[in-house]
Amino acid sequence: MALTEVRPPLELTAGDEPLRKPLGAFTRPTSSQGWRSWITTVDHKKIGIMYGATAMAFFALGGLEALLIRAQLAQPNGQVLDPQVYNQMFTMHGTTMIFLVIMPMLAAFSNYLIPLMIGARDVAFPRLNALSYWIFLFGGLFLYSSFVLGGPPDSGWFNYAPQSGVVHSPGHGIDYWTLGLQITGIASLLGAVNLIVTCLNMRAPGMTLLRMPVFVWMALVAQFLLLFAIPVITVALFLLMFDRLFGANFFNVSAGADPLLWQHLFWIFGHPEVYILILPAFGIVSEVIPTFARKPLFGYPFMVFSGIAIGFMGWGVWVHHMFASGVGPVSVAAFALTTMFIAVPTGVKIFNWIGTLWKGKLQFTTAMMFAVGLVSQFTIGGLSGVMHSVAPHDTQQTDTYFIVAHFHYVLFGGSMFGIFAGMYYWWPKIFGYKLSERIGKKNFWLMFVGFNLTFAPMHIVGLQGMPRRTATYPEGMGWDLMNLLETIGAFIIAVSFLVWIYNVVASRKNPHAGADPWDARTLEWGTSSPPPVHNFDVEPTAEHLDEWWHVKYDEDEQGRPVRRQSYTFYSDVDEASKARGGRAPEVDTSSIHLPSPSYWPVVIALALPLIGYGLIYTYWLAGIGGLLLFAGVYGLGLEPSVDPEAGHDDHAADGHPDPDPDTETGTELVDAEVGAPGGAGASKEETP
Amino acid sequence: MADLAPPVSNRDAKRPMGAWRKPTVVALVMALVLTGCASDAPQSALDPAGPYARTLDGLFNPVMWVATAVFVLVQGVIVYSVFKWRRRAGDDDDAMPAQLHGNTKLEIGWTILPALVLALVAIFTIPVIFELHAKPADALEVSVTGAKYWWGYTYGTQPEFGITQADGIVTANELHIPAEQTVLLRLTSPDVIHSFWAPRLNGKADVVPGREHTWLLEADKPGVYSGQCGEFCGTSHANMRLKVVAHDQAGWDDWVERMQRVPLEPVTGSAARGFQLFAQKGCSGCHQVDGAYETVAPNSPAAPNLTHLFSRDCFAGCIYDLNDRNEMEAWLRNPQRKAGSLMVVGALSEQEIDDLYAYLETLE
Repeated sequence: MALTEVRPPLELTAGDEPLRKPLGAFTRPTSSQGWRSWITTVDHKKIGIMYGATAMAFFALGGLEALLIRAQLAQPNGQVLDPQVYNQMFTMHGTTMIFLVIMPMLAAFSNYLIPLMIGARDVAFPRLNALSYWIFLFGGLFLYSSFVLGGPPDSGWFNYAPQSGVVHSPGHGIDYWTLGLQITGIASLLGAVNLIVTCLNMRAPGMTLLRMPVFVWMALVAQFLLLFAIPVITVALFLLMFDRLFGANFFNVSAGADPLLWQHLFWIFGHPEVYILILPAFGIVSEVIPTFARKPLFGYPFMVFSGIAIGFMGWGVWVHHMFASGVGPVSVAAFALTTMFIAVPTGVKIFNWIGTLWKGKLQFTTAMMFAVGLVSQFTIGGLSGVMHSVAPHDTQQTDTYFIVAHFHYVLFGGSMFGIFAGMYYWWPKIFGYKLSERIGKKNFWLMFVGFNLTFAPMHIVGLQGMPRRTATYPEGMGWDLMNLLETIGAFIIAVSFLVWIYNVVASRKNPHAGADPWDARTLEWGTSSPPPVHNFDVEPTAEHLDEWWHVKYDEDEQGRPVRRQSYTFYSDVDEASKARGGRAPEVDTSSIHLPSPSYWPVVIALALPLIGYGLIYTYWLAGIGGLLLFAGVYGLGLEPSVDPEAGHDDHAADGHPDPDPDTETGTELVDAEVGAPGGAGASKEETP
Repeated sequence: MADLAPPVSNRDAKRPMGAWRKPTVVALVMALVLTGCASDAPQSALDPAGPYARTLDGLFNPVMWVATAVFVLVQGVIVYSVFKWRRRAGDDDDAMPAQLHGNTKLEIGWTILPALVLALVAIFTIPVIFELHAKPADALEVSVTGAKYWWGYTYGTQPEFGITQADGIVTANELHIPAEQTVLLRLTSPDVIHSFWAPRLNGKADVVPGREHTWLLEADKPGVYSGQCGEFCGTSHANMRLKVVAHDQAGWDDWVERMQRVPLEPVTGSAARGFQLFAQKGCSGCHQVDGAYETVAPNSPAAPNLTHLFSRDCFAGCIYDLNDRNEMEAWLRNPQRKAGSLMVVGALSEQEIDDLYAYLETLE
């Protein structure tokens, strides 16, 4: 009964689609065109694009917040922002960039690319994937709605107790923060489960784990980190939420709590989080550099195992965020050691990328420039990271601009450069045309100069004693010039971002780039651009690492690649792509079944912010949200992943015989069974 | 080789110029680094003025040099590769470089070598962690309270340092210490986490409610050392500054003697009216004055002890100059000029402000 009571107006089902037998509360959507198809899609490629577009929109917001921060700090005794607003800006800047930009941006790449790179039709659980995206989107919007509903959080992205408690932060900002991040955390967890299963179970025949592209490996390690780190932050957020909304005493010092509990929970999540943010970017440049060096990645096994090593060691370094917190000399010594030695696998990566460049034939496309930019700039962040491990001196560095410089070299010079490299590299695969290289190079150089001008001087002012998270600073501290330069640099970054937007808009008229414009190495370049909805007309098989390269190239006696006279794409590609010997496969694609679109992910996702508002303002709203959530989960659970009706119609239209409807509804409830071209078991035999 | 399409070469010819920009930028950044270090920074960790800060600096400098060497090496090889192996105009696109898949010995080498360098760093770092934690027996002990948004200091009775008064010395924002003397701070907070930090004397130590952390300071020479709260603590975190004033022996003795005098109650004129107003307007609900207003209201927020207010140079988290009368008058008119300040005053007439000021001036 609950289903009918909370059924929203039927506008979602209105439109020109013919009404079919309703399943649950909604008629099953069928369209694959138009805006409605984006809302109901379960296609990993569309979901990837939506993740990317949403993340870049949040990037613009987080960037605006950064510009306000820099405007305030351009001069001593700045008057641009009220201190309260300044605190809100740096809180939302950090929260946005981490949770709403870099994480979803890497989710975008992982979503779009993992199935293509491992030769699968989709992720293991396509509807769960849609659910992840919508939950992330509504979680982000919920957090940002605090701007118009009483003010955003203002105690930093780390929200240390007891400053984050209701006594010291009485507004609702931090309630939005705890609830918003719990919501986006659900999205991350669902995504992690989904992508882990995809990587492990859906690889094309022959693609052993050690034939997986490095990007897939790094994304996989990052998903495992998410799987274990998100529950920790969720516990912390949950406790804080109970303190704030229900008067619990987890962080109430006067009731005997130790505020360091929060710090431990936060950083046990927070440090693996750093690797969640950087490892997929490492994966991106590990694809980009070999392509444009026209050489295989130097030391693939070292790259894979160093990534795994970072994933493990990342759990053992969190106390280096707390060297001044009073954890005692034994803890400090132990975590100083682990912090030093996590630099080893990271260094291996840098050296191996340089080994890949060495004696290559480097083609400096924009993607390559950003990728080499990452290698160069991340090194700086890595070196300052080693300086933190000198724990006694870290008490001079922590909470200063030296740290701000360090993690921006990691997260901007690392993650964001990697993300831009990835966007320029895969844009022609995703949209069919390249972003302009001419504009792209302006984009890169502006960003490179702006980035260094913004963040390099922060090393200096940090060591000169300028603390972070300060809304103002007096004259005469020797920080004036550096801060002015940082502000100028920040605005150059903003110009660079506008150049990127201009590039996105202006490049839409660029000619079709072909299926494989960079003569690249991995499977996704063997299908058409953009790929068909089912990704591959024929199922790829992997006999090598860099399988697509080996499809195109043979080796001569000296081991040099020689292009084959003839090879076969995995899909029917454009004519230009066939010019150098590529053929389209001869295959009938009409029997490929994909999961049908669904409204339920949006319904479930919509329920979560309702519960959030309800907990903050009035419980009956949470009740409505709870019912909606219940209805949505029920609806999603009862809905077959493939609409039996849709299947029949398609076949009828194509003139193919109907498959047996009984077997179809009986077996295709499990998404994974239809997603894998070779079936879930196909790759198992080859797994080492 | 020769038959590569010519239009591509036009764009390629520009590349060297584009690529030169990177070293130029690096040079520019280096120049900034040098000018930055040369500027006068009174709160700089790079300019240690005591044994603890110097120990930290001594650990940091060699690591900085190692990091600089690695930086130059890595960036050098990257820049070299970018120029040396760049695809040039006229290159045959189909002529492939050697397909090198890796070199296990080399890779094991560049795994082990950094580990050895780091082990060396560890050998120097780890003992210092424990050394810095040892508590010297002959230290001057000071209890430090970090509160929103100011610093309080209580010196218990310590005859060896001239502090003989039963309830010791209580002051705020300016921490007075003898030079060449180890000082042991006991750090506590009544509200949220703060961090005590005077960079030229030592690193920072968090001040955590519900805990007592200890921290050491020592200054080589008499002087004033600037510092501030290092952990975000709310709206006015930036305005929670402090000074450490290190004295020579004579200066220390004078200061201790002055701080143990109880100010006389004013009996006539403006100051006497101010004395009355101090209670009537509620000042004494939070602020203590020894010998006059010793009991604060229950549940009042922590507020500086004003007994020797005019012995100090700064007030309100050390952001205003106490020698400038206008600053104090503006403060009494509106304590919210420091955003987030917990001080509340009702509307005061100009006469009342003058009277209060006259009274406060007697507290020296």
